[in-house]
Amino acid sequence: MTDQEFTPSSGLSYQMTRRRLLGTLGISTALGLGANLFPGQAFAAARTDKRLVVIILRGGMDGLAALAPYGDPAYRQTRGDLALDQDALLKIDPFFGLHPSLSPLASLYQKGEMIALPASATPYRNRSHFDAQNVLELGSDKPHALNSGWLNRLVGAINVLEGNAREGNTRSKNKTENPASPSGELGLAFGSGLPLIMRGDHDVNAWSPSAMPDTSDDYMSMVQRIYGNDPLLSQNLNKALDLQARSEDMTGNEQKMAKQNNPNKSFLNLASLAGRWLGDPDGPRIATLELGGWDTHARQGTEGGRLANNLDILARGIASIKQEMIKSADQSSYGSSWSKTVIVALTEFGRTAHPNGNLGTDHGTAATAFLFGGALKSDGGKGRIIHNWPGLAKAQLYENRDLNPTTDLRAIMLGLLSDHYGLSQAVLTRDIYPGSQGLRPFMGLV
Amino acid sequence: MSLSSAKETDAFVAAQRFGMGPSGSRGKIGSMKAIVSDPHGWLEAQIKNPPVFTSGLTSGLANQAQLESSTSIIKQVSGKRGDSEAAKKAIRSLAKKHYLNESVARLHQAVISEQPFFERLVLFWSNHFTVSANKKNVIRPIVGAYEREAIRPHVLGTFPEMLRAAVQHPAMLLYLDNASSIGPNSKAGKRRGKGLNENLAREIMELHTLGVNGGYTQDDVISLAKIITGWTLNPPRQGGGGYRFIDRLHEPGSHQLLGKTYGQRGEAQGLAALNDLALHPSTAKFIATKLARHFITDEPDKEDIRTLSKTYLASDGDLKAMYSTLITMEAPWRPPLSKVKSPYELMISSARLMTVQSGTSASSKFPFDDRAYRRLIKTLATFEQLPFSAPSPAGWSDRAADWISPKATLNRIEWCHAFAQALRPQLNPLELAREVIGAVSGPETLLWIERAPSPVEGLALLLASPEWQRR
Repeated sequence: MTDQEFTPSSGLSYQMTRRRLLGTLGISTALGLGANLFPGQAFAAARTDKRLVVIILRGGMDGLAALAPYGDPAYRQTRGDLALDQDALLKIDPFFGLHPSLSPLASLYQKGEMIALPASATPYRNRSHFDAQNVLELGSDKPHALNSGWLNRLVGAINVLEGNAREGNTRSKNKTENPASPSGELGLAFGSGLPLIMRGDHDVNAWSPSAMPDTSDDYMSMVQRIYGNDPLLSQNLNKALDLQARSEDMTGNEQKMAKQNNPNKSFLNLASLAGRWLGDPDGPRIATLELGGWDTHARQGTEGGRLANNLDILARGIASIKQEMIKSADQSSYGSSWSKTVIVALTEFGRTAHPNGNLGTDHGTAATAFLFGGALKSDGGKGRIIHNWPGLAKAQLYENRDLNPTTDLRAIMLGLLSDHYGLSQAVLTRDIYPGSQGLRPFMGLV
Repeated sequence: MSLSSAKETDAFVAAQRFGMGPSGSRGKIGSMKAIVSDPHGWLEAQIKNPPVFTSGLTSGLANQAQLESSTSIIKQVSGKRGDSEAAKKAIRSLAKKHYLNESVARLHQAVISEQPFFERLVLFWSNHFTVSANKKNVIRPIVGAYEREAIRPHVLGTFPEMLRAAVQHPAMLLYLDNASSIGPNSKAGKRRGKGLNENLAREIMELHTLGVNGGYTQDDVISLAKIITGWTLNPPRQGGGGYRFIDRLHEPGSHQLLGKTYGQRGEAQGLAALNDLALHPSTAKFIATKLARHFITDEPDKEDIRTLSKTYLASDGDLKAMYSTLITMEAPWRPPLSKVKSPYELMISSARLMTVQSGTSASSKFPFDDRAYRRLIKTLATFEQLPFSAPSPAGWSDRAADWISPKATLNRIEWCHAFAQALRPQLNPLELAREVIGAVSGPETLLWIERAPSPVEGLALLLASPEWQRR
């Protein structure tokens, strides 16, 4: 067996090292997972070791509060009562300052593990949450234009890139064809349901610790029998049982403890669980987390208050992903997967630049996109803020009210996915972001 | 399919898809045997008059508190307002008390109801006009009262009336921030320099009436926001707490909405605009689509939507006419099992089934008490379907693909086992299965229920079966 066999025919840069191969074999044998991971082949091509975590911030995060452009001459006047106190801001840059609740993120910035992209937006220009989230998650240029989420299609593209090695992970459009196939672990949503961004033809999964009491194996196998003629239910059940078995291998007692503490609603809990799974050599490569509570129409607060609390949860969640990934690296010979990780935090739209009548903000247009992770390229050891700043003066605003979108989120992702996974622009603009051909990808983020 | 088995399939559809599952002891109202003689008539009879909301008082449910009006609850909450920790704690506990009482009363109402079709419609409209306890401490104690005051009285009325009741209810005005929206050129706006909040105006058009592609623009959103400025609460500290139009907050002048000029003064301007929105063809299509999605299939046919939409426009949004059309259409009756029950529906129907298995009627001994309902509420939290707590103003999705997942499926199956175990069935599970799902079940399901090692496992299998998980 030579390296040649692991190199995809498309000539992309994926290489399998001997050390990685041995590592994979050792660990999957120890967990008894070989058969599940690579059905039908003794050694299939190894999976990519690059991690991508997408955190969806539902409700429209106020980007001007998360990363305040305090150097903009119109900042104080436009933001009015919502302008943040200069002294409280974390001034990571002469023009932009992080919200004081985001100090864990400022630490990442200082280590070169954060890139912010202010004034970015999807191509959607109306202000419905539901349509905006639809566009963000489908990767389309208008709502309801595609029938699968772009992360799901990314799973498919990576499968193809790796030579269709794991046949269990790709499936024809007819979902009833193989309802009992083992679950894919390339994509995993942390939470009890699958967000739209992950839905589609390619096998992915959702997981959160359960608060339900255990049942007998007999009962489960009888249920499997009576689900034989119901593809939707049987497929979901089989995936869940498969993942549950592996989750017990991986987290053991902690999973049981989690059951007793009813942790399912907590983003922080799910974030640290995600960190632990992502840090494992056999863990998922693509993951999602969701955090709501950003729709701050009234009294959103400034240095403290409702928005500040949510930013704090977000920042601590991201910090705990890193912490857990590094902890798992310490316990294995695999090395830190943090250095191969990019976390992307995206929201469906920003909010109005001015406060509304209730010290809140209404639905707007451009927000700020954030990238985190050890895989990011730093600027002399520091993080980066990449922007084409549109300005906050009245005449510079979009429709006289919102921050003008000068960066297309798809351009960021086109560059990132191309550098991170070695996917070609041809594949990306065809399969992941159809309709994005005219955009100039942001290369060199990782 | 023989004539009798077609009748039995209709009875299953009437009980499960239109109703909330069979209930009551055998032969009584709501059991399969009573429905099978005339499934269509059984449904028609339920939409003649609204049922009494029992609030648990007449039902043998112990310790059920008297439910209070939203005005009275708002006054109580505002009387406790203050910055101290103690004041905040008092408000939290008040909110919790009312929320739990309302949730228990609502679950109980659906479990014992002899008009389960009506109760399903309450859930449908409450979800359409979502006010969520998730948002604020001030919403939590009044969400139940909102449903009783703004939704239930209009379920058998007209859509324009329900729209007005929902939009003008204090819970909605607080939830979508209109209570504090002020016309920039109103007396108060000029003096205080405060302004519009467009949240409610946008959601009225996007989620309550026209639908997102219903043909409105950002300018329309701003116009409607101006039109409904002044729609707020009578200040609770001055003995208020209910809805009131306050002219001092209202943006003066006439406003353009969807190309039409509204020159009325005061509240009349908003009422005229709401009425036009309610009777707009886009609204007819939007409401028809949602009803078809709920009662036919997740992705309903255009033809079926058109049928419902026609009834809507011809009757000016008369809801009884809509339901009658649904009952007489063919599509909702075939094929059975096209919809997956939501977690809430699964729990209500399973609890109703327990009134069958215990052989008791609703008004006598009943296996559910407050504690049992509170356990159900806890379980609903696990399923992310706590009563009155939809994640956004759009409500919970009515498409299975939007919420079903491996984890959710496993949770449901595990819950069925726990529920069967807690209730220890007294009937033979196979006999019960033949009665309640026999018309639609394949041999495999009945075979495994028969083979189950114990009555508990047999009942759990019945609950977990595709025939019970779907409707």
